[in-house]
Order: sequence, then structure tokens, then C-alpha cells
Amino acid sequence: MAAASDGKLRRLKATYVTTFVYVDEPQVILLDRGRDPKVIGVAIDRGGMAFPFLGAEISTNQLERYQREFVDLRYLFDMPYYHRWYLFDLGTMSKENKSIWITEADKEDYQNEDYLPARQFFARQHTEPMELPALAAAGVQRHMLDGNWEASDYSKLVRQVGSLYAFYLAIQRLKSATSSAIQKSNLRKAFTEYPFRGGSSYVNFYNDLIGALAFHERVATGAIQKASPGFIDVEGDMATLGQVVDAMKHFQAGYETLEPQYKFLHEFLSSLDFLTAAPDQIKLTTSTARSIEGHARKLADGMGLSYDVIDQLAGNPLSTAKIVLAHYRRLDRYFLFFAEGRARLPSDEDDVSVANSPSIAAKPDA
Amino acid sequence: MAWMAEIVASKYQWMEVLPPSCPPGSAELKAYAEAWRYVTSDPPNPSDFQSQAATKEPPPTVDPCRWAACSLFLTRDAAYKRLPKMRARYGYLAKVAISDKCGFTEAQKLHISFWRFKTFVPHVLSVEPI
Repeated sequence: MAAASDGKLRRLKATYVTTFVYVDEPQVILLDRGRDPKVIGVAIDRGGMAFPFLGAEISTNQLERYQREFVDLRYLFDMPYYHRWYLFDLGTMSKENKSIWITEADKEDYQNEDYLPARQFFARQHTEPMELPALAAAGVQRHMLDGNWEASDYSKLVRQVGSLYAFYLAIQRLKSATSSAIQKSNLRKAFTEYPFRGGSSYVNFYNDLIGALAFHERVATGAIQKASPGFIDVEGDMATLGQVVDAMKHFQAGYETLEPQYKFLHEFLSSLDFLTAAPDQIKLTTSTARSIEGHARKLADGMGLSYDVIDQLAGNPLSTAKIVLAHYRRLDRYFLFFAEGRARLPSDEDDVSVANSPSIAAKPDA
Repeated sequence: MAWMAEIVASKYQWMEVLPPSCPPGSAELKAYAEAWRYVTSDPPNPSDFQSQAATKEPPPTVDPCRWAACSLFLTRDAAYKRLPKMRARYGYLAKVAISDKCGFTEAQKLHISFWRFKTFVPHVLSVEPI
């Protein structure tokens, strides 16, 4: 990766990966610039080159968001992660190793409207086949809805499912021999990163678990029928979605026992001011640690969780207990929709036919 | 499939000079009641259906056979005008009818590569500015 010595217009090397759009000639292409950086390029009309392109240096994450239509093409040029733009001539690419010289672009080029794609060009408009990673066993869990639903209730239900799902899938991924070292490291980090002194720590913990999963592994909202009765579909790995539903049924069956166990542990930690204290600032006595562990283990067992697995990840009984309590609250919020009668799982009489998933499964053309 | 392409290539007379084994064996003689082509004028010029091969060599990423085809679309999706070079080059979207006597086609997703016979005359159904 050589840079020009004058420090003005840097010349760098990239490697051609693929063409996304072809209309008489390549219109949108992708270059590789290393482990994370990619350059998305659009053909432009500009003198002095046979096949001039303007490129924006984006992250792999941005590329996947674009491919899954969370952002349009213009967004990648307006807000590229690496904040760098390039000009290059596709005609100069080496046929042998597909390498190509790219030159850092001036502001008048990367802010030139004539060189930029207009808004609302999405990846579905690619002319070339695109392969995206997809879950081996993707599935849809329908929730039948009834009664009165405010707009925020839909997202609340999906959020609870998403958090529980991320937790179960994170544990699976940590155990799996096929998970990448980076994914395992990010998942482990989530368990030790936060002090769990208040709400934001817990929200960030679950967000980090979700963030450590690949896009195609995460839960997505599928079809919604906002009627009464209506339904909402949640899409993801079928086995993990099943685990969430089973946990809720288990929670429902054991609610009479679990609720006092939760209250006891919560009040016990509260009485010691441990709920608002960071675990690394507290030196637990052996008897207190044993006591916290005993109550947390009982609650975890009741919810079908392995206390030992969480404890191994969290590294101390106080963090473990707080994670177990947080898990209870999410199961409780999810269960409440069912307890209120506003949600139920489909019966044999319900039509559960679903459209092809836009979010997690492979695209029809992939 | 290369031998099939050779037979196809030698049996027909083409509007443009095609490279060997072009069109590919997967291309077919097929009629499209409606197909769309980005063009420069209303009514379109015959040159609007010319491939890029008529004007310059392909970039290293493009197969010479594909380079000698012109792009059509199966649906009226004007989305491609949002791309800068398309916006600069083409002002109109023409709806055309393609019979199996017009040439060989190969469809992929919504895009059609079209290799014209020498006798091809565009049958333009409508033209709209984009």
C-alpha cells in the first residue's frame, strides 16, 4: 500500500472483487482493500480515463448493510466508514492478479453531484447474482396478536425476543467449534465489559451480544398484520427461536416459584447496595459470594439456564447474578404479552404461511 | 457447450462482429413482448442498440462476448438512471418488442444480454423521458 510522497493525492492498490451492476458496461463494482476496508465504485463520465470510477472506502459491515438493504448506495458515498474516496480507471486493472491503482479523490470530485449516485438505489437492483451468507436453518416464529396494541408494543415484543435469542445464540456460538475467534472474543467481552450498575449497562450488554452476531444470524422482524386479531413474525435461526419460546413456556409453568426467587435475589443485592455497585469495586466475603451464587443458581436453574456457563463468562458471582436477573426481566416482559392474552402462539387452525424472508434468508436470486 | 456456441455463431449473420463462441450456448432465441432499453433520444437511433464493442475494447473484468451484447431489462425499472454514468448518457427509457427473429438473448435476474441479428430493426412500443 504505497502512498505518494507529496502527501497530496495518495495512490494505493486495491483488488477487484466483483461487479454488482452491469448495463452495457460495469456500472457498480466492488474492490478489496484489506481485511475490513472495501471500495464501492460507480462508473462516471470523466475525461482522461478509459473506464473512470469514483469509489468510497467502506467497512465490511457497511457493505453487508447495503447488501441487505438497510442503506442505499448513496449512503455509502455520503458516509463511508473510512471517510476516503478514490478515482480509478477499471481499464488499468491487471488481468493476472486483478490489482488496480486507485488515487485519493479531491473534494470537488467526491462531492460532485454528477459523479454520485442518486438516492434510493438499493442492492435488489443489482443485475449480477449476489451471494450472501444465510442461516442453514432459518425460520419464522409467528405470534398471534389480539386486543389493543400500541405502536411501541410491537417493537417491545420483538426487542424481548431479540435479546433472549441473542443470549441463547451467543452461548451456542461460544461453544461452537466453527465460530470465528473474533466472534467468540466479542461475545466474551460483552460479559465482562459492563459494571451492571443501571439500565444502560444491561441494554448495552444485550446490544453487544446482538452486535457480535453476523447480520444473517440476528433476529429480524418479518411480516406484521396490524389488526385485531393480527400477527407479527419474528425471523431467525429456527432452533434458537424455538429455545426462546420453550423458555417462555418453562417460565410460565414455573412462574409461581420463579417470581419469589427473583424478588429475593433482587432485594438481597439491593439491601447490600450491590445493584448500583460495579462488581470490580466490591470485595465479596466468602459467605456473601456463596449466598449470591446459591440464590442466582436456583433462579438460573428454574429458567433452564446454566449458571456455571454464565459464571465462567462473567468471572464473578455478582456479575453472574445480575445477568441472571436481567434474563428473568426479559423473559417476564415477553411472557407478560401472553399472560395479558394479547399474544399467543399459533394453533393448528391458524394460517401460518409466510412470505420469503427479506432479512435473514438467502435472496431468491442468491 | 462451446461446440453449440460455434454452431450458433456460424449459422447466423450478426449486426456486429462477435468474438469466437459468441453468443454462449446458454443464449436462446426467445421473444419478449416487452423489454426495456435505455436510449439517448426519442425516437431511438439504431446506434442506441449498439454494444460497447462497437466503440472500444472491454475492461479486463468483462468477457468479450458480453461486451458485444446490448443490455435490455425485463421490467420497466428506471432505477438505473440513479447511477451517475447512466444519468449522463441516457435520457430516455424505450419499451421494445423482441421477437425470436431479432437475435439471441440471455437473461440473468432482470437483465438481458442481447446479440442482434443483421436484420434487426427495433420495434419500439413507447419512449419515456427519465
